[in-house]
Amino acid sequence: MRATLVAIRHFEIGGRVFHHGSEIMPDLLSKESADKLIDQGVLREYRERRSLYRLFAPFSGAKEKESLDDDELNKLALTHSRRST
Amino acid sequence: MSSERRIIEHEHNPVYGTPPILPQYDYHGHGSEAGREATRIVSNEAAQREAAELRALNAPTTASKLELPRLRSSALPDDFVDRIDALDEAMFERGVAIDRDKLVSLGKERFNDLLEKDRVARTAQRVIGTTTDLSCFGSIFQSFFICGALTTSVRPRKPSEVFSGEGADREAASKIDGFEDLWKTISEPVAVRSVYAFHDAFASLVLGQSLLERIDSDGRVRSHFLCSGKGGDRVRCFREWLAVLHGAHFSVALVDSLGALLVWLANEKTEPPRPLEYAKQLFNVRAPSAQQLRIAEATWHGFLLGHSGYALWAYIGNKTRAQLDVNVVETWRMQLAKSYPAVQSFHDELRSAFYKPVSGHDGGHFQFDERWHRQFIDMHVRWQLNRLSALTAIAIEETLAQSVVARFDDFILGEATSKVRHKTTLDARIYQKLQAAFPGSNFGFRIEGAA
Repeated sequence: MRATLVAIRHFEIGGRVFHHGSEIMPDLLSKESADKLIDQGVLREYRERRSLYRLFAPFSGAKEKESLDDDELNKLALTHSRRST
Repeated sequence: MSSERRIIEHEHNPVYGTPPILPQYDYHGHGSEAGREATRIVSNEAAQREAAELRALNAPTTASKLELPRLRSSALPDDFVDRIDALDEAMFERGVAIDRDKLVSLGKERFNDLLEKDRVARTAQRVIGTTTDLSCFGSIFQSFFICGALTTSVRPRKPSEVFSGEGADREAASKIDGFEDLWKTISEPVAVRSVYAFHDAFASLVLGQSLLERIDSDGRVRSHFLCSGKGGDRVRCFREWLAVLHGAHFSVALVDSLGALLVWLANEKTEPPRPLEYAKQLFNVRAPSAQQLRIAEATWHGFLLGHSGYALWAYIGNKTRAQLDVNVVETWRMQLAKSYPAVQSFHDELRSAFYKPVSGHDGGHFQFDERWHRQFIDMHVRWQLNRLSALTAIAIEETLAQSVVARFDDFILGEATSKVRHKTTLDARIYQKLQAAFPGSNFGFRIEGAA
């Protein structure tokens, strides 16, 4: 699983306000800027948290994609399974 | 001492024949080869007789597999299954027309809403940390566990109750195995509410995204899920995306089909309670809230499905996410049992069919098979609801040819194929079909849109 960038402090980037615990859009920051903010303790990277932006890339506009678990797809998405009468 | 062998004189018995010659052993227990063989034969025979007697004593009163009770069956034409299979296949081929731009636009809006719900949920910082993945139950469970917020209102089962076999339903009701059970916790209601708000939005968005991924080149979505006659949360999610359909559509929604079906199965003659009136009566209010209405409906359905005690408490909780007092819930059930005696006796009779014989040191007794009983009711209800929806779909198809594009257990979606409206004809035909198949039933339905 790829790491998810999460705001630890309340701050603003490009007119967008991020609260404590909010996820940062994957393409919003360059790698250097992200590293700098991580060093400053403003952001943190978490591998245990999935990125909502990547999970819903068609709606979030993120370039990177992450697929949902098979269980989630079977339970929540459209399937081919069928029950006969 | 010499090994003296005494041969016993045997008389010929007309029934059992001449018994084998039994050798007399010396004090060291040694016998001849022929004697050992004779002993082995006799021992085998005795063991077989004993086993046969035991089998006869413990013979089940019914077949080894429980015989399923026969419930009231609907009167459907012989070719019904073939017709509905053909219709389902035709629905799959037709697909549902989706407006891609509308879907993407609505998806973006809902994604922003999901982010907002994520932000709100994370304000409950005592429970939900920055590492918590709100979309994953394991992560939520761990977060709640770490701060001790998994306590439920259900009293734990004592060892004495475990030994006596009591309180199994209470223990089952207290388990937290998934998102649907999180309402049982009592310590952090605000966090639970916000987690549920996020989870609902997440589930809806997953379905929306799968719709987008499945759009074919002709702008239509084809999935067997759309013609499966299923119900549940996924259907609720699909209904949230009806705004993205392309072209004129109409829908036929069966109103409280579960309640009407069970009343019909039980042959209950007393008029079922109206949801609003029943909620007023339960909560002693003039204008019940939406949640009170949901609780009243879930109580009625739980009673109809034969739940009681903690099972009813858990059923209502799963439907409404409300924590109620189990004694209050049981009182409501008993009031309903008095008012609807046919439903009560229907369940009493049904339960009696699920007592299976078990052997024990006291000569055996009958034990109620709770799991199989519940499976049977759920399976039968799902099967009948599926038939109900199929019947309605056939009625629509006969009135408006090639119009049905999706079928769920209480909701059928159709595409307007002509500008001429057939709402009155459709209404009459659905009613006629349902009455013919379920005589004396009281199924309600609502036609909306361009029918």
